[in-house]
Amino acid sequence: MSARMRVPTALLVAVALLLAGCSSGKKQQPKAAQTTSPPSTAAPAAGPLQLQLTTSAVGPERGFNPSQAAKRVTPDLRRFLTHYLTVAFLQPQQAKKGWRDFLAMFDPTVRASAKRQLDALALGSVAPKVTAVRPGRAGARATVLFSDNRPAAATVTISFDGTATTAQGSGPVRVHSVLQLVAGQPGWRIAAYDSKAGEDAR
Amino acid sequence: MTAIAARRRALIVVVALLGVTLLAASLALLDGSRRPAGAQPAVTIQKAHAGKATPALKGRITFLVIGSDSGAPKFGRGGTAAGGRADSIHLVVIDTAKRRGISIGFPRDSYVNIPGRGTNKINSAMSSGGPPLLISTIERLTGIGVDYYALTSFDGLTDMVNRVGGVTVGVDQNLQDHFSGANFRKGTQRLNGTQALAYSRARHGTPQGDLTRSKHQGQVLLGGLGTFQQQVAKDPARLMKWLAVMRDEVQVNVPFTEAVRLAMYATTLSPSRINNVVAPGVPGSAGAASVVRLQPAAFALFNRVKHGQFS
Repeated sequence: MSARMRVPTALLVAVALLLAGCSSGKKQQPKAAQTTSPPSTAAPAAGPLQLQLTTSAVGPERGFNPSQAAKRVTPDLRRFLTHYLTVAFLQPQQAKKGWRDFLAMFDPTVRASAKRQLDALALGSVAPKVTAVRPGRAGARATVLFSDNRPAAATVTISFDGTATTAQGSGPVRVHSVLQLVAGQPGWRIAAYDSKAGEDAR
Repeated sequence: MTAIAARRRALIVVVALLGVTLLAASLALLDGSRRPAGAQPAVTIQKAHAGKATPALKGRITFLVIGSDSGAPKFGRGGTAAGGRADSIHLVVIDTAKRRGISIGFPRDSYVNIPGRGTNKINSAMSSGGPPLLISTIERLTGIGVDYYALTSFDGLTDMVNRVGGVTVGVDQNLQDHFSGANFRKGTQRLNGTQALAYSRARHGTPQGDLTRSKHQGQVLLGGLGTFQQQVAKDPARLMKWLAVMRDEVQVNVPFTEAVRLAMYATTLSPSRINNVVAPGVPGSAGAASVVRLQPAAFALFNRVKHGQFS
């Protein structure tokens, strides 16, 4: 080989090594990186939704213990909010049921609005394409109003993100909402909301 | 070719082959396939969406907002708020669908018919028969049905305003009244509880005495609504704080769950969409008593409001 041929060969090798070095910096498993596999439609393993909930309580100026009240209401509120996120994001089959279980969590005075704004509150119109959602972070901060020693209303700021799987691939889903709740005979209901989903929900 | 040259050429070929293999692998990685075996390609599933709603209330809601001269121990006023005279009376009518409304102030000395009690100053209706009689009086006077009432006292107003951190009010004139303690320069300002009460009570040194005072009370009411909205917009949990304060300081005949819905609705009802007016009247006398006689314009106003015209 002549000296003129060795230079491009060496350059080729150097570029190749450089590119290989850049790629290996991503800590990919070499075998995986070198394997071209078709998109899998298998659902990611869905772990349980773990909601981080911080609760505070407000009530009458006299004779009210906020920390005790907050402690008392937390389990019930956690159940409600976990169920809310579950039906909104982890059960794409809700779409087939017309989101009945989800909309039942809203006060009748806002149910029609919620039905029109499912894309801002839940998986909404993408649900039919989604085969599963793997939950990521779920957090909420609640301020609960007590009246006559019972929870009467609450303001909840709630965030959720997860990874949804479709036939085309997987991608993030997320929501950030402020929910105003009223407590009634059937339990908590959402009576007002301000919600953002997708890229805006940060 | 020497043996050394042959070995060198073989080494170059091996290195070149290795390089080409690595290059191919690297290009494959750069081709969007940087994922573990079996993983999904990343796709955009959820687009950005935003939505909000407050309770969709139906029809018209009418409140009678009452300030009593009694039931305020901090001001040395005994008795109960509901058993006192109604020194501040405002009929607030809201068209929930159009999100607009009107607050009609009634001068406390308005000389009107009180059902079963003859003609007297309107403020005596409550001391004679509590909020229900005052409501009947207003309903008969205006022809407008009252859904709910909200009643507070001097103590209630001052405590309420202090507990929410003050209210922002558009003071419409320089005002000095040593009877009420009012001392204000014209302009929008934050009032504490004592100042809000003083502004609501001042009638000396005002252009129209009792009528101006009633208008100022409406300004405090709408200033409270604006302050409430600003605070809730900044921190939605303030809604609970306001409800807790209202629960302590204001008597209402609204079921609490309904009060919560109304408060949520109120977060989106702009104060500028509520017309603050006073029932037109002129000073007069009835025997030895100074009274305000409501004018035909007042009854025309009531009739317009009854038919949904709030301007």
